Amino acid sequence: MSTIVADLRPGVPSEPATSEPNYINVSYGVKSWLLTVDHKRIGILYLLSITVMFFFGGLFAVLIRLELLTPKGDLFQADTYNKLFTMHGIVMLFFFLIPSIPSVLGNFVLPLMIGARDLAFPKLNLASWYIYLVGAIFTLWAIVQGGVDTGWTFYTPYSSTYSNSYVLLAAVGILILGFSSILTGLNFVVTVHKMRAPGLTWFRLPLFIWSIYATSIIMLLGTPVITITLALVAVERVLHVGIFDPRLGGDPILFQHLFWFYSHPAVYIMILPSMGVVSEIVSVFARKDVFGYKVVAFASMAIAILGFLVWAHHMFVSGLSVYAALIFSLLSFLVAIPSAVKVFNWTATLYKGSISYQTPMLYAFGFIGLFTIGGLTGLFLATLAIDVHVTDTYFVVAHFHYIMVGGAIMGYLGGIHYWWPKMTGRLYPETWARIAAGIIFIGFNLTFFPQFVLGYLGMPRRSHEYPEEWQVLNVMSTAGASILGLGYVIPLVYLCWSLYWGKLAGPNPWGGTTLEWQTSSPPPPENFQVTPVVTERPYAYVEESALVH
Amino acid sequence: MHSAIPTVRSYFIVFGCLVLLTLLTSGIAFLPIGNLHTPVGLVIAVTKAILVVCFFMHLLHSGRVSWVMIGAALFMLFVMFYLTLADFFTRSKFNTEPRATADITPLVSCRTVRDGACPPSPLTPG
Amino acid sequence: MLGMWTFLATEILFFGGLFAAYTVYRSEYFAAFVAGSEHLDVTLGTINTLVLIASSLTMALAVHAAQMGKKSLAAFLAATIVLGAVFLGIKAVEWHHDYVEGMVPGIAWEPERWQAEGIAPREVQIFFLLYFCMTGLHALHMIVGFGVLGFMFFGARRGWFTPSYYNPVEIAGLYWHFVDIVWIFLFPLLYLIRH
Repeated sequence: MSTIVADLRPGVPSEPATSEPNYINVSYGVKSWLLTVDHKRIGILYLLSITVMFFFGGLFAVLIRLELLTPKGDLFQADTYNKLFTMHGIVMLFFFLIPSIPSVLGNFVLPLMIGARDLAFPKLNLASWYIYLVGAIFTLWAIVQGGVDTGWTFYTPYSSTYSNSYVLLAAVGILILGFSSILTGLNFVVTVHKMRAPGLTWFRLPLFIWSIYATSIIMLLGTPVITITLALVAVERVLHVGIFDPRLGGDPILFQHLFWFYSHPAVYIMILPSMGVVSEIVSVFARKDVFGYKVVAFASMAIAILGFLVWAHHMFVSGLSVYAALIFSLLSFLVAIPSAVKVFNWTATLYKGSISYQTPMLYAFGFIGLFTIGGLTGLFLATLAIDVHVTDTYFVVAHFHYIMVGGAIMGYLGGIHYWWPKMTGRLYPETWARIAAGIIFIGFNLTFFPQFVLGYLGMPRRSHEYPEEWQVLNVMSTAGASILGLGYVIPLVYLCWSLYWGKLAGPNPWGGTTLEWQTSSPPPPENFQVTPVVTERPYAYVEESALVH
Repeated sequence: MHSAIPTVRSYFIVFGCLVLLTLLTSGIAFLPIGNLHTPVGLVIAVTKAILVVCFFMHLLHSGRVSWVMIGAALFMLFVMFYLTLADFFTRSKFNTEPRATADITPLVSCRTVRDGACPPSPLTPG
Repeated sequence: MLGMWTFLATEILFFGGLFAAYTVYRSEYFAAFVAGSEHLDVTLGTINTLVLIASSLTMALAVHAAQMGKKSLAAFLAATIVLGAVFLGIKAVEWHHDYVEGMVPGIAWEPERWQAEGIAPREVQIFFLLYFCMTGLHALHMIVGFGVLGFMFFGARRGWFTPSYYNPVEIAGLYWHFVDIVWIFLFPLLYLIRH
């Protein structure tokens, strides 16, 4: 494997090409990218799309935090504020977090990691991206028209009957996005079953693949339910009938059951891939086999399955029967167990490892700590008596942001940095990356830790006004948000910078042992010159040498 | 063990069974069997479905992974039904009469509000 | 093949959401559901069920013909499509009748007839809403099926399929049989609700 020069600027004289083209420079032109069926290019297309959506969602977050600087509602009207937090939720969850790792890193890395040439259904993969775009366009159209004010949870009958905002457009956008998710999941599952390299048995798969597989199961089994539920809301809105409207004989709690049946597993779609990334990073940067590989693999599957059984913990105060609430509370405790097992295993992996503190590892550390806090506060919320006190307060907001931002996004950024050399053939500037990681960590905690306190003190969520005595904590939170925002912009800058001026990366800058590092950076269009054959477990590290053949 | 290719005759036999079961289920609808209509109808429908899946869709010949896939979907369907109905069917059993608003203590802690009574906060969906 | 079984697994959950809603409301509004169900035409429903089962037979025979390399493949595919079209034709007749009678919620709804029978209109409306949503979604799947089968027919006529390559036909068959199975459940649950 020789070093491949990745020069993305047409017309700039490149260094003499020492060997075959890679997936980036094999063909030029907009059409070759928009009609590609190469999973690597599609991964990049997703990367660009979700980054755009991330900054939209972030914009709404900035506006929310600006409003919350002062106790009175002076920046926005109440209705506008409702639209801000709704659109923040919808864009961030559906159009950034759910596709983030699966569609970007999963698409790019999965076939490489299993020694395959591409996914099982490459054209379907491209279709998934276009479907994502259509869904995004509907949602952006809804935003441009004036937004939705129902909360990302679309609770009925407000969303189906009473809201005057553009619920239909947003609901249609999300249900279209659901198809993108389903098709991606289908592609991944079939690929992992059918296209592993010779010798790559299930228990030799990298843990990232296990977590993507588990995520895909959730995508497949959960997403259809939200699709049909939002379709019913759309029917109700258009025809003015009452499937969820109590006035017309419907039951709003049924909507909540159907909605959360998907939306709870959805949060596992967001976190499981990050956990997979952390497993990879921790192993490479501690130069050690992941402790308890099989347990971690089974824990991923357990989280996926148990995650389907706990949805009504979002509904404890909505009129649920106490008996059902008890069952869901117990099941919610159970789902924390495999997550905790993973945290213990990562920690045990670090023990007596040879740890280096590159940026991906910093993000992994951030993940482990922040996800633990988020997960433990989830247990608080699963406890019925506590939930009654803190539900619909900032405690819940802080909890899920610890998981989604402190957890999922840190894992995503860690993965982006970890696989950046593979994707682009360039190294990002390490110092800047570490600075950014630090800023993100500080900004994040400053933003969201005060929210735990606020929530416990009783500040309700989704409200643009609050009593004066909570202003200090809110100002801290907004200050943190500005720092966090800065922290997110810095990687955008240096990652783009690295495309042109970053140091060239060889095939294996980190000394990883998984298959993607056995091909050039960036990889050739067909991924591997020769189909690799796997003869041992994935994290076979030896003290001195990096590569184990 | 089934032969590799099912015979045309077997398809017609399965078809015949399906036709009979359909006429049976429609006919039973006219009989006064009260509560039994639902379970009988479901049993017949499940039987027909199994016939189609096993004989027309060759699930018996497909890989084990396909079985697991369908099994997983059916399991999740069961979970959705069971736990949702666990809520609906036990509400009247365990939930007491709704209390007057004045009786409900506020969910939001009042410690930080300086003056006077804290307004009772309405129960909002979680 | 695994891809199609996986897709069918997602479809089970897709229809499953509607079945869940149906189950909840049937238990709450049983009398209204009986009344609504009795207004559906069991004869036409039975005929439709038989037609769809016959189309499943022709589909299975089509796959068999492909396996054996017989020329009747195209004919069986055509028969499947024709039977499917008959099904949709009968459904259209039923829906038109419902429309004329004012039993389509949101579009043509007459609550008075139910009040006369002592049934709450809003409860029966849920039954009919679910009826139209479920059969409508089913019909949509059938129309997609026509496209798939039509494509297979086109390919069969051009000799794309041989005994060693007939996977697409079998995959199309899986989809079509699934659509049949959904109807097998829809029929008794919608048409045959009785006290």
